[in-house]
Amino acid sequence: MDHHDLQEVYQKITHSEAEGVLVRRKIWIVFWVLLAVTICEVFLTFTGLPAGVIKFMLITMTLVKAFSIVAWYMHLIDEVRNLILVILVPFGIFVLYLLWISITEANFINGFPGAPG
Amino acid sequence: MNPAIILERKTAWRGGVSPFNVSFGKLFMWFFLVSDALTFAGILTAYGFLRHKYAHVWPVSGDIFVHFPFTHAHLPLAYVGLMTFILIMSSVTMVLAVEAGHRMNKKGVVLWLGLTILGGFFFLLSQVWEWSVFITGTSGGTAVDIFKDGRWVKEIFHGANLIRNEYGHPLYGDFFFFITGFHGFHVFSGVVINIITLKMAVKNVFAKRGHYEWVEKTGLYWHFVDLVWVFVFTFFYLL
Repeated sequence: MDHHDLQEVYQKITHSEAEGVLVRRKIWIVFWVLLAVTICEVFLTFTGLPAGVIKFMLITMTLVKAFSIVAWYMHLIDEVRNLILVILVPFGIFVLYLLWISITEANFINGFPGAPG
Repeated sequence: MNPAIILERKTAWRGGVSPFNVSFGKLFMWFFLVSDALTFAGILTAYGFLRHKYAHVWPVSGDIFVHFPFTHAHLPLAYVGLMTFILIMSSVTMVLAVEAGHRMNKKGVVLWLGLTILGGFFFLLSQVWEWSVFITGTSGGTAVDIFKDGRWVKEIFHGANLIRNEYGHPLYGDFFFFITGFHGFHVFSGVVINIITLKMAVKNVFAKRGHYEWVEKTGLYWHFVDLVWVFVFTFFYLL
């Protein structure tokens, strides 16, 4: 990669004052979303809803927060599609495997009917 | 993404161009973050696994973290909520520093990065306080089995260490120290990296370089630290 190409890559990491206003507006919108979801999460813990419902809602809200941070604060949504896939797909495969193996093993370790040992 | 540099699929990997349209440093910061995220995923999965195995003796975090500095009021999870707010806030100031860097605005970068460092410090001090409360324990304590002079005896135990705690299963304490400790060390190194970045910004290193991409890379790391806390907060404190 010669110097000229590098300059091209760096072009997209600068923007004008006018663009900056829009970017900052988006940053604050994401902040209010994160704050609202966090407050809802804490209150949800004390509502006394069925445990399964609380668990499902908390995990959903956490994934919403994680998506907001990765997409708009880490700017992953603005990257090339192939880069997004290279980052998310291996992580997704490993996490799904981890979830699968831990749930399978948890069934065995808690001795569900028919489990060996 | 700049549409002017969308690459032809056939020529993208023949060299001389950047197929992912990011610099080397940013690409490998992302790869590092993926591997680090896997580490945390492993730790949190292990936590979930053992928590369900010992569900009948597992303490509820909302019953333990009820203290707030300078008051004796019973405020479950309030201080952890505040810590979460501080960390989200420092993430906002970080992304504002990155934005100021995009406009080549040195003053903005220094201001927002400085506030990010303050937020990080506040979070670290909060964690020190929370650890000390957790380790000291309640005045009442709990009777636990302790092996003494060749036999098991019941003894009142206050607080927590790696072997036993008054709150419930010993693994709860282990996971508390390990998860928040590992995350806290990430916060600590993030603060150190941010201080180095701030020093470089003040010394015009980035202004001379013509771009503030370094701030973007440290920003990625800092947002990752916030991202991990989002999961720790849910899985360790709330669930």
